[in-house]
Amino acid sequence: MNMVTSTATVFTREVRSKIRTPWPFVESLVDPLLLLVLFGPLVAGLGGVEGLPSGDTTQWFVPGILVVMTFSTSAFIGSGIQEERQAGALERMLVTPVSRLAMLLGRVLRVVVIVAVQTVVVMAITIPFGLDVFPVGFAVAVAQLAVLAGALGVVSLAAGLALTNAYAFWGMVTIFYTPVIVTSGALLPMDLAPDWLYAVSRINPLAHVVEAQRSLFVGDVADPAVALGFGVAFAFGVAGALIGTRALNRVRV
Amino acid sequence: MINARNLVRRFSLKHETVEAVRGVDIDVAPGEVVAFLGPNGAGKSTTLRMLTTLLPPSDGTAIVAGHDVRREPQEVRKRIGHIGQGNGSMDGLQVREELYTQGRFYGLDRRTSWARTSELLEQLDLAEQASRDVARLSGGQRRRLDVAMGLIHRPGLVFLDEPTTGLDPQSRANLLDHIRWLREEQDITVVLTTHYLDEADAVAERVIVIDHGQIIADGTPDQLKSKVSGDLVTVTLAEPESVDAAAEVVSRIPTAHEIESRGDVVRFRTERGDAVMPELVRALDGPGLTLRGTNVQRPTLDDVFLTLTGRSLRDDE
Repeated sequence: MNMVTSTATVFTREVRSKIRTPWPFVESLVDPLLLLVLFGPLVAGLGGVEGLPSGDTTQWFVPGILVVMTFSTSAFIGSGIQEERQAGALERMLVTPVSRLAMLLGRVLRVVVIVAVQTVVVMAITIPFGLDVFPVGFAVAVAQLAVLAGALGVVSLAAGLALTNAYAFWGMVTIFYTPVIVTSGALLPMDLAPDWLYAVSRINPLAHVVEAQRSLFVGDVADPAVALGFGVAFAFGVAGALIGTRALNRVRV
Repeated sequence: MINARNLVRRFSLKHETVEAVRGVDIDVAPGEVVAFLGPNGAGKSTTLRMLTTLLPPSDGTAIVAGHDVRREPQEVRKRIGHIGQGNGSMDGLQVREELYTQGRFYGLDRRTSWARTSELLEQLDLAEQASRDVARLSGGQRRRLDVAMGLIHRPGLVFLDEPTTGLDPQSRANLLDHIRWLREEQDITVVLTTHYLDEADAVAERVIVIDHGQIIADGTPDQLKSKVSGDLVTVTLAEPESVDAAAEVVSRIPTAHEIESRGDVVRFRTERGDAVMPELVRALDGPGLTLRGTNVQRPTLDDVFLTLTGRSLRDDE
């Protein structure tokens, strides 16, 4: 069985097993919309603070919210693989000849698709609230968020496999969640940050994607920040895939 | 089917190294039904996991279904079925869907996988549950689905790890019937682990007793039982006061040993208890001792385990 067929089979199984419960989908779509409604006006009220556009902040705020949404949709899927390990379903997968990388990619592909769909939905919903449309920029933005979703998903799976229990996994999530979201600059501009905090944001892959997304949302596809955002997300994903495949080969079920 | 030499598995726990399996040799011929019997923690599951590529051996070699578990794990996986201790199916999927998908994982094309799915649902009595969510199956049904999943690619060799643990007696009997069916109708070589003596006795043609990570006995249940010195014969007398006289008669049987009398009962061990019985009944008749009942009990695998290790398998239950 080749890589494409196995990945597709793992993907279909993932989708089918979760399609009958719409809650995860609802949850990750409602969250960005609530941020938009509740936090958006606060950002707008800041006016011409450094790093913010002086006029309408919608074009600045929506891309950040989409990155947060991508994070919350894809960064927790490692807990799912922990449940499978606990139940015995992972052991079952490991005795089949399916490639270990395909097991990861098939799972990740599900969140990639969900994120792409959600991004389009959020874009469509915010157009009536004053979002200016840049077709090429938006298309590239969707593609970039999909890459980010894949990268975060595979890193999350690697973490789920490396950490032996659910407490450890959610402990890690708690430790990383706030720093990752705050230093990504998704909610408030990192231009406001003191030097040390700004330095921290440079090692956060999300910060680079947020900056790339903001360029894409004003149609500036050629901005070097866009290429950097892709590069960082991609590198993060490849590292996650390597660690994850290794973890899947060594996991004790 | 299986040729394993000097299999060793070590685990590191904090500061010490634990040897869970210490140099095990196993040969299984095609068509055999073999049970690994031993108490919890004896190393049976660890051995099984090494044979099914789930755990790399720390030392030694194993050729399973014609391929080396360390060098060609993929080739081994294609040729074996493994039914683990947990639930192999994923919650949220329908029974039919999951089984079909498992077929695809083994490279069956769509049509073959659907055909095989229908066939197995019939054979494992799951046809009625075909469109049910696997999470809503009973324990016995879910176990049978696991068996079906392990058979989807028609493997010649199937491993079952503690297959009946946690099942109610009826589901257990049903599953054991299916395990016999694997051998008798499907011509599949079966290796299973169990800590239930009656289970090993009921389905296995050959029992490998494992204790403390080593094989301590290997043979058919009858061969193993013959290691225990003879059958247990019990004679119950009509009058308790004649027990001593009866014990005296018993002691004159040349092969009788371990003679014990308590209450109205005399017990002893002897080879061929069934052959000794007619002679004993006549001998007791002579002095006019009246019998209320007799019983000849073949040794159980628990007697075997007790003889080999000085411990009873039931101790840890």
